[in-house]
Amino acid sequence: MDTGPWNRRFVHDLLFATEGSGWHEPELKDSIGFRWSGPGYFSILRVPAPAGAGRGEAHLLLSPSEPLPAVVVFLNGRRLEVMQRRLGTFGVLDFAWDAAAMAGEARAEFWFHAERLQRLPAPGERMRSVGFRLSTLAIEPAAAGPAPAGEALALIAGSRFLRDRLHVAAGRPRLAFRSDGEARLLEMRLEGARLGPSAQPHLTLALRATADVMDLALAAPGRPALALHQGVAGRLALPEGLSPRDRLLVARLLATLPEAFGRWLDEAMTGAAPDAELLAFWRRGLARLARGGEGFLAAALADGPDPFAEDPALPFAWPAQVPG
Amino acid sequence: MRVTEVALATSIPPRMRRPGPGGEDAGPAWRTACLASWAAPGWRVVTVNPAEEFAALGALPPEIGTANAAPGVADVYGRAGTWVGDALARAVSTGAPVVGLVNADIRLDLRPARRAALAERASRAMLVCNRMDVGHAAQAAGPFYRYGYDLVLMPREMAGRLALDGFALGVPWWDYWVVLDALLQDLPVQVVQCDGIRHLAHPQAWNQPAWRRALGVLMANLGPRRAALERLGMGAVAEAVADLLLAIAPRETEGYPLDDMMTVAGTRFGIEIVRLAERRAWRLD
Repeated sequence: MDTGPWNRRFVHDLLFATEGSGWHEPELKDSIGFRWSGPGYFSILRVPAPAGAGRGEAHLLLSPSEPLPAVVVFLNGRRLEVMQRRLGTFGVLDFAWDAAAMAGEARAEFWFHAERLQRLPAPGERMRSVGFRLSTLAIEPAAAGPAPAGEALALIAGSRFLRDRLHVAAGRPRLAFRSDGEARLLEMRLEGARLGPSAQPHLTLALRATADVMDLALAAPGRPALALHQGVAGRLALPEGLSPRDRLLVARLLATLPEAFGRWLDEAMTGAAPDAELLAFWRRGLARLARGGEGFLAAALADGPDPFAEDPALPFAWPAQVPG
Repeated sequence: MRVTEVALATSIPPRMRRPGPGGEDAGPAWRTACLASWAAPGWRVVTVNPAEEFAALGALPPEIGTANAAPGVADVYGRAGTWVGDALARAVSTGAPVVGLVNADIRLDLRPARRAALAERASRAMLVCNRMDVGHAAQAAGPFYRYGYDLVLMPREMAGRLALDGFALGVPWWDYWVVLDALLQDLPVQVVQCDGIRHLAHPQAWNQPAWRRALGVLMANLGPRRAALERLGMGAVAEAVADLLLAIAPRETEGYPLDDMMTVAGTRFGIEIVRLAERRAWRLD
């Protein structure tokens, strides 16, 4: 559909509740709403966004003599090229992204990394660390977008099937980053996780990334680790020794990891001065892993054993020993 | 002969003052530029003013028609003016399929393709357009002011369905009310940002009593339709704020601190209406 000179615009006003972290409470000044970023350098906004390529504008409120703040912007772990301009009392960050940045993503997760912080008093309160004042985030799809889904019923049925028969939860994540030569390592400890009907007091997921290859080991206390591998093409190899249903649950768990990573960011980045590039590397890696998990799920549900054949109430069964 | 596609109503003030470079008054030149910018092939404009004001308006461009405003604005808001419903009715009376209102300090730098796009879309939905603030007349880029609608276009039939009694041009809230009124009737509304709808920025100084009085008019209109507000899905906070305003707006004089509460709650309710309208936001290239 050709939209002609019209461009759909999605406006997110920081006066209202936001999904994300790293923002102070909303304020209104001269009829303009905004939130200071802070108290750390790293601020996150998660917003609904149309699939495909798009462009965005972040409107930063400025004082008359205030220079444009240096802010690095990421979308779903991809650093965006940002053009800055001044428009009256606003500094505008213009950026765009290609379709790959939104591929497989349910929402747009924007990261704003402020170069510097300053200490300013909160209205009537203590001093606090602040970065920049974000007023609105406006995003526009580059194209008219996909036609309304013609498979709505299948989508609804699929969502219910996944929720009822393949329920997983990553729980509360704790992360540790390391390196080993060229390889980057990430240990994710998932507290209070769930695989189907089975609560998992905690799971440990050790990830080792080299170039475009990811090796993973998923373990529960007292259980041998399950080895998984994602190759250059993104295809995921899941371990033998699991039932077909439990392999689907593991794939589902992998698909939730970007969201779990986001929850960890919200909790851990408060007041932090993180290595944004390292975080972006793992955000992209987990998104790729999630797409691999979803690809495995799609193939298994389409062509694998009957997904309704197994009793969904059966507990998740860790193999007694991992096949060599 | 070209038929009128769009009929706009406005109320041109006798004087306009705007801060210019070096302290000069940029208002008169901006006023002249605004007046000259509205009419175009297929677009017709009428200014609706109190009869006693016309002598002070000076010479108007021949494309701008005139009409005497209905009385009563001064009695309510303390200064002469024009009722919104009266102005819109003058546009409707032209028979144009698209009618609207434009604030008198808006300059329309719209090439024919943009006018055509606006007219076509406004034949199907109400378009409420943000203004782009510029620092001087030659500036071609500036921020949009999201908390107000300075050009409103709609199908003629829609205009007849709006309840506009008590709202006056130049007094806040009428632009929020037309949005809410339309949405409460399940009529389509779209927010438009177009850099050809320009406004020479100047300090805003609302007359707070008039602001609250017009908010009271809005709440009086909303009261009988409160139940319909739920269908709009504005959320629990917006509905609670509306209920608070419905309770205190008619009782502002009953003591401390109802006027302050109206200001705070009204501000919140206003931005809730903006958020509601922006569910359907568009940029016009």
